[in-house]
Amino acid sequence: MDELLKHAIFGSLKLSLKLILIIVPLMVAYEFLESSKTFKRILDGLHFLLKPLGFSKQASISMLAGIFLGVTYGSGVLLAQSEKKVLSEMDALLTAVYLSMCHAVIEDTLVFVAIGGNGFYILGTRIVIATVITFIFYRYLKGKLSKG
Amino acid sequence: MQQSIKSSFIKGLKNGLEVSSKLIKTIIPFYIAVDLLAHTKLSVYLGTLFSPLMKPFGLSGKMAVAIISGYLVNLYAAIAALVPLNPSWQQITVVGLMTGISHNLVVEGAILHKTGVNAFFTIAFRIVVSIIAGFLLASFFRLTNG
Repeated sequence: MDELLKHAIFGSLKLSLKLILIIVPLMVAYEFLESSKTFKRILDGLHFLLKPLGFSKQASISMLAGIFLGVTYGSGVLLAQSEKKVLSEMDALLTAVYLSMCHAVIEDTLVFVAIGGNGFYILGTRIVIATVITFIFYRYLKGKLSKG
Repeated sequence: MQQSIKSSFIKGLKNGLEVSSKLIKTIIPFYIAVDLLAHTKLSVYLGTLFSPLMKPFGLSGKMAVAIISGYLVNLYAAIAALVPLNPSWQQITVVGLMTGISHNLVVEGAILHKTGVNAFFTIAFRIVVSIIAGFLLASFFRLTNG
């Protein structure tokens, strides 16, 4: 039992250290990205990509925060926008649908890559599925909202 | 400019350490619990119980603990529960996809609820989507590996 416990404690410390070594540099990189001009360019690019799914320009600001920073971190932006009522009903719903499936993707993917997963499959499948399902919702809601 | 580089660096470092402390608090207890559990008869029983449910995802029955930990707590709990079970890279990838889509359901459901979308809806919706996604990716791995 003593040997087992030692093995478990050592394993948990090793795993924590491995993940910290990935996360800390990543958070530093986030900060640089956020304060750079590239951030604004990414925003414009994202709007272009999200338009066919029914998102407005306003919504793509919450989307960007959510996709990269996660619902918990991005929630500040999401809540601020929903309180200011800048998002239409459609935007709020589509944002919630997309973000509920697809947020904090960089951090999420990297931590699983750190333990030996394939990042391409994790990220690729997640984005494709979230996009397809959001598109289905958009088509469904468009018909419903315009009728009544 | 010099100033903003320095402040970005410090802010990033601070956020990173904050996440790290959260991570340690989750990983250490979950990892130790699952690693110890894996050596008991209870884990054999749980493994057999969940085996048919986990089969479509290419996971062993014991890995149900990782999926459930991820759904309820967060990805770090899922990782901590998965690593002691010696998963293959395909299994890590499937768990990463499923818990990536659907995790920390209670807390995040409450956050999304504040933006005006029903929490019950987002929780049920994410679980269903993660099951579909996990099944599709596991099927793809089965096909490509013969």
